Amino acid sequence: MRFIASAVLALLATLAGQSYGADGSDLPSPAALAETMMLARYSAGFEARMRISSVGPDGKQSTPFKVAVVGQIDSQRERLAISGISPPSIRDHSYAAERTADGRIRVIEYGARLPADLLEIEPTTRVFDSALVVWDMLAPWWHWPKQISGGVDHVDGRDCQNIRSVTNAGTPPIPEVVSCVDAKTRLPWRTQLFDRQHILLRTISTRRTMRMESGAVAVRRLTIADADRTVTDVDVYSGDEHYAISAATFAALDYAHPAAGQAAP
Amino acid sequence: MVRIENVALHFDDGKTTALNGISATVEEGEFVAIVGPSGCGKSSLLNVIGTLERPTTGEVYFRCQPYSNIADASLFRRQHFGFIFQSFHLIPTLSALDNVVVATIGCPGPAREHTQRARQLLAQLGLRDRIDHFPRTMSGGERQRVAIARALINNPDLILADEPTGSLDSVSTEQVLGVISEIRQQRGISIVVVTHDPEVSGRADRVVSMRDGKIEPGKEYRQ
Amino acid sequence: MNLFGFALGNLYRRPARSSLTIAAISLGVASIVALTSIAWGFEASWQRANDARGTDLIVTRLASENAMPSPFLADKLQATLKGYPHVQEVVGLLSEMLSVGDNAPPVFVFGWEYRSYLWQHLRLIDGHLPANDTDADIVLGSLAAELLHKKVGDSVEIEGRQFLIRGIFDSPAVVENGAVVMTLTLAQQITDKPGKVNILNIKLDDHASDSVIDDFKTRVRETLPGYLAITSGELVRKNAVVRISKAMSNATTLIASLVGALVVFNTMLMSINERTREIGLLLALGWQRQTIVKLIVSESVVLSLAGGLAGILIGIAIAGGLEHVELMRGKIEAVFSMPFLIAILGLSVVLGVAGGLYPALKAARMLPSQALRQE
Repeated sequence: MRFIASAVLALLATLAGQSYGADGSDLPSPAALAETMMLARYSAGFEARMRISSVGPDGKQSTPFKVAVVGQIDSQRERLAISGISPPSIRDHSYAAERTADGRIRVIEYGARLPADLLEIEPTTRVFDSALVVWDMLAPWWHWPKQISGGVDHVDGRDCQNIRSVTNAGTPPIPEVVSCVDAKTRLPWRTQLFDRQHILLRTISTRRTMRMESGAVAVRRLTIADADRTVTDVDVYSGDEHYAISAATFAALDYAHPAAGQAAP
Repeated sequence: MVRIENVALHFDDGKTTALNGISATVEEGEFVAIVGPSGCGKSSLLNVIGTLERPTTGEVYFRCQPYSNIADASLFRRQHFGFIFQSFHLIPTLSALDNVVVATIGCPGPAREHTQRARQLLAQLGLRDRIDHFPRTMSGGERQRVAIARALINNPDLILADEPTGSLDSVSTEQVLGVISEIRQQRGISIVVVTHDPEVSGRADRVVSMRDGKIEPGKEYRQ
Repeated sequence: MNLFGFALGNLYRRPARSSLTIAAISLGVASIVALTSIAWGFEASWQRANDARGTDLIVTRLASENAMPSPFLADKLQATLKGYPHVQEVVGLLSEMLSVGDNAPPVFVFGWEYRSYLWQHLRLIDGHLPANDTDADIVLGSLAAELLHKKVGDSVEIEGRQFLIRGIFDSPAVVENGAVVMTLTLAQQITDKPGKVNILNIKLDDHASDSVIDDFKTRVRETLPGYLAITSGELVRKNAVVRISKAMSNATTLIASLVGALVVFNTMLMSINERTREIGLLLALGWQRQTIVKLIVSESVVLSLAGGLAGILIGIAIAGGLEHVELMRGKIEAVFSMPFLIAILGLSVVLGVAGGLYPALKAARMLPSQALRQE
């Protein structure tokens, strides 16, 4: 069952990617590749369940936890809902995120009782104190207009093509991302996020992949290494490529922003 | 019994000549000693007679049957010849009895009968008490007697012995020669022996002298 | 002493080399036996699980080559299939591999439609089956109960929810004995797959013949695009884990056979090189060449047969041991059959002959006069 865990991956844009149909000798331009990465995440609804464990800078392992990530991504909207499954301390504890019309990432943290337990938070908030960041999960850098080729690289013995995505628009929390994308599967083997001073904030590495029922290859396991030396392992153990999105799934976003919710098609 | 006609034996593509146009005979029941300096071709002649070596040219006949017509040399050897070697060539991990029996493996007849005959032979050769001993615990004379029993187990017509006393002291030599004489008298077997030992050649009916792969003319004599 | 006795003696007088060769062959054979028995056991266990349930046919997604097929919405399909001739029941099943509690190895969690025929083959050892469709009650297979150290009345946490253990059962299938079973509704709730199943189990009436099954399969293929109707045996054979484990056992057999033959080959080649003078002597004594071949091949076959016998025992022990390792319990089951073990012994003989033939022919081709001169 764990095998189906589809979209996760679509989810961590880092991950998802459908075969582009081109081989290494016929590489698309960085902009075209970025668009492919963006399109590859499109889904009418997916769910991925993942087990997340972190080791802090002091070498201490924090209590592992499980979350379910539900997503809906198309040309009109990009929305994610992340809900705690276990342990009990995170159950009924959720995050919802969306990409707004102006390209900003908006994140809501909420509890069981809506709309009472609802709070808009920083998009770079870590999910339950792990190195997993909501902003990264929406991979907004594929929308940025400036995509620069960084040449061919090798990550863990696998070939990939470096793409540097840069933006100056507004005050994005992360202005520069370098992804090393596999030319064949269009999976990023490694994604590095930098701050304004070009200091590396964290690196997301794909460890294992899986083939989904649709034929697309998705990430099964990944590691996030934070600059503060926290290392987080994300293991997708279950999922659904065709998750039925309900009215309640993204209700938190609508409560926080009723107008936006009504405006959505 | 054996007729050798103009036999030559070359090794190394003809660079080395072991036998160079030998013609000779061995009669039924005859004891022939071949003498000569080392490397003169004595052992090669013995090997040719025993079908261990195929002559380059010439022909050898055994009871009028030419060797070139023999289909299975192994079978022919087993039926007609018994070999005795200077260094005994006993298998160190087999007992005296098994060293004799090993020559019967593959022969027709039940294994038990072969073993029984081997016991009798060893007893006849004075080794009744040494049957279960291994070669390393036996004297040179005893070992050579085991080898003689092995040569006799398949009732050969001709014994081919290559320096049978070469590794023995005088007492053992005397024992072994006594045994050979006895066998000859009892069984009427022909013997061709290659030797340097005058004690051995002194007991032969006929002595053939060789040099440089040839029989030395005028040096063959009967006793 | 006969030829075989002489061959045995030759092996006995080089105990270190003979033992090492036997050890190498036995390890290869042991890995063949262990892997193959587990691969077969895996298949047999899944097959039994399906047979025991009384399922005649399974309808699943077309591209399902994973351990379990992908989930799909059951409603409409279920209604359609119920209209097929001879169909008695169409029952949804959802299955996931989930961890139960903290630090416990993941187990199979099955969701079966409440009150469906699937429940009937379980033999309750203790407690009861779930009393209704929605209460958070589950039953545990006997092995799962042992692994999780749980009894009736205890509770377990699955996907962040607490469940009460209402019963413990025994099933003819080891897969189920190591599993947690709950109602389909609950399984759909905890995995957030409302209305979805992995497979639909079809039970036909007693009048259904093979041709009914064939017609059913054809009809699904022609009228329900994206879906596939197969018998449980076909599903098991399509199962990726079954296929991978079979491929692994085949690869192991091939590699271990090659290594085994090479080990025998090397041993016998060394042996005849050391025994050149002895072989020369045997030829001089009138041994026929075919007797020399028989001797060397007998020695190599004795080595490989001894290795094969030891390997079978070690392989059975390894497979038996693996069945009892915490992580594997309830998930694997080794199946041994007499024909298989005899075939392994046959393979050992083939290895012996293959490995010993060249050295034997080489020995038989020796010239006795030259071999005797060798120091």
